[in-house]
Amino acid sequence: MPWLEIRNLQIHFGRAAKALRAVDGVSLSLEPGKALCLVGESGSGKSVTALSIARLLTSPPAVYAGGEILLEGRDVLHMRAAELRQIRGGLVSYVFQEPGASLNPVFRIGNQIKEALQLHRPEVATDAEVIRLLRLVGIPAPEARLKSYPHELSGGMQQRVMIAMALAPQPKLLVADEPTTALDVTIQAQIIELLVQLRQQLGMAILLITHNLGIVGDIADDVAVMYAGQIVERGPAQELLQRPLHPYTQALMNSVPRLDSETERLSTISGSVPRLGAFPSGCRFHPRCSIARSDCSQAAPPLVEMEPRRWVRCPYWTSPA
Amino acid sequence: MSLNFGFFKTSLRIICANRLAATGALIILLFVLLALAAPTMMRLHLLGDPNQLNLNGLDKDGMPRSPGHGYLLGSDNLGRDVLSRVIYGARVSLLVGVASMLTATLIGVTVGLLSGLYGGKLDLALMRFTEMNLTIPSILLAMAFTSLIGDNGRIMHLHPAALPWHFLDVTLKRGLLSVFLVIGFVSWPGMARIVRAQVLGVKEREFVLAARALGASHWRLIWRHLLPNILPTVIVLAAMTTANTILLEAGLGYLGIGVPPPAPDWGTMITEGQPYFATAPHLVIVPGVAIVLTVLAFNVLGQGLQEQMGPRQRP
Repeated sequence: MPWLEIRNLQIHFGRAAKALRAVDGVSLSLEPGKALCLVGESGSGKSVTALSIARLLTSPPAVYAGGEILLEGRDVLHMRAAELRQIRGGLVSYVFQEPGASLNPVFRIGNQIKEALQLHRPEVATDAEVIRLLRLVGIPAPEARLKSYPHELSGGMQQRVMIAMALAPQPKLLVADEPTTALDVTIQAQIIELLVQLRQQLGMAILLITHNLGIVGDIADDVAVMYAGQIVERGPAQELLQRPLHPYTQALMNSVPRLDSETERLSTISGSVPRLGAFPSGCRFHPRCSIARSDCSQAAPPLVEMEPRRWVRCPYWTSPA
Repeated sequence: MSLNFGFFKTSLRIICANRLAATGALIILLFVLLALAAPTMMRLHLLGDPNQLNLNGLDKDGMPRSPGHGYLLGSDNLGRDVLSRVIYGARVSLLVGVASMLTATLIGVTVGLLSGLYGGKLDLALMRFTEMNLTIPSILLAMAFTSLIGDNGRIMHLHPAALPWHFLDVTLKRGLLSVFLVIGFVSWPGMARIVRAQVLGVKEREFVLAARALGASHWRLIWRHLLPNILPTVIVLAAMTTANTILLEAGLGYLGIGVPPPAPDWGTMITEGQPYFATAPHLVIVPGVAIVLTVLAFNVLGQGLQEQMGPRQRP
């Protein structure tokens, strides 16, 4: 059994008939020390999936309507509050998008990291351990930084502090929810570099949520592409990036700017992501799909293993030229 | 956040940085010092006894003396020193004002926090109850409460029994405790609503989610992440509320249902001086000015703090 296994997860917002199905039948698995990338546009359900691993969505309005999330064989969706507090941080830690907003503005960063230690490793909740963590995430002169307030640090430094906080309880999985979106490009590269390096050093698994395909190849072992609450394609990172099979993934790859081609205009995907609760019938991508056929609007295609380890939710998939 | 020296230094820095806040704080400090020093000053004969009936205090027609004539601020219809009474009145006003503010803050913050945090039916119930309270004029509600409370009396020693710090003594004549509780119980609704709004904003901020993701318990989220972030608002509201509670206390005194006589109370002093307004206007003007100054000082302090700490909350 995998270390983390999500089976047929259903997450709705609101109740009964008016429920919005944000996540509809997502299945994922992750082995210790592996890195999985969850790729998708805004509103595809990738963040909701990630937050549900430690049951962080507040309910209501979120409803865990079905499926299971097995963490070391235990179902997170049926844990008691005390158990949840143990796994939050202890097994699964999170790094969020806006480092500035994720740090409490009224406390010095040293105290905030120490709080994370007090929650899970109270015996080492000391300045020395905080300094060690700050050094681990590459913050220069950590002794001097202990007494800094979050607003005194740059965005990149704030994100490093967030990572230090997330690492403090020594989790086995680090969930990074678009950790670089709010940062500028050079800092993005540094943070991704740091995550890669920490993963090798500490041997923890990483679940990276992103809509930036450019950083996927740098870090991921596996990739899952999400669209409208479902996984449309899943496979090993290098293969999937070089040879995407689902028309949506292919379209996404074509819209990434490349240095090695002569094209002047980037290709785009026509239309926009369907609104939550107004998904098209049949295949949810068919109105925007370049290879859609008439029956695509009728039957919803299942996610099928089309080639070894390559799962695709499209019966008419083609290998790119 | 521990109450260490740094906390006071930060507070002092914030207050000094704003002229409004500094002015308000200075006036309040003056009143507080006078109020604390009153018993000592009396023992040193710098100040008359506020309750001493004194024939020398009346002129040959038996009327109150105007300011000057051996009494800096004149005497009242019973020959008592008005300066002394106004200073002793500050003890009552400030004590009742601050104690009611603390009561109101405790209730207001608790209700606002529960309402904002848990939402749903609890929020609905608490907020409708709060609004119900807001529709009733607080002075009417306070009058109704006062008429319900019985009359008891005792002296409260705020200092350890072994130490003769009698300047900390509070004469809890029938009514003092009841008056501040009553005022506290009618002054919280505004606070509750604003705290609720603040909590609704702060609880959605990402650092609360981040703390939850680290396994922080409910209590920890409230104490470490919500409360410290709404503290600036609460402090401003507390200063403004104190202005209101002092005014309300004077109002109750004026209506004769505040701290009962002969305790020197600003509101009561105005009532007692009213019949002599034509011949001895200082009996009304002096306590009136004291009320205006104190209320103004607390309002100005609150406003200054608001300018200094908001609208973007600084650490």
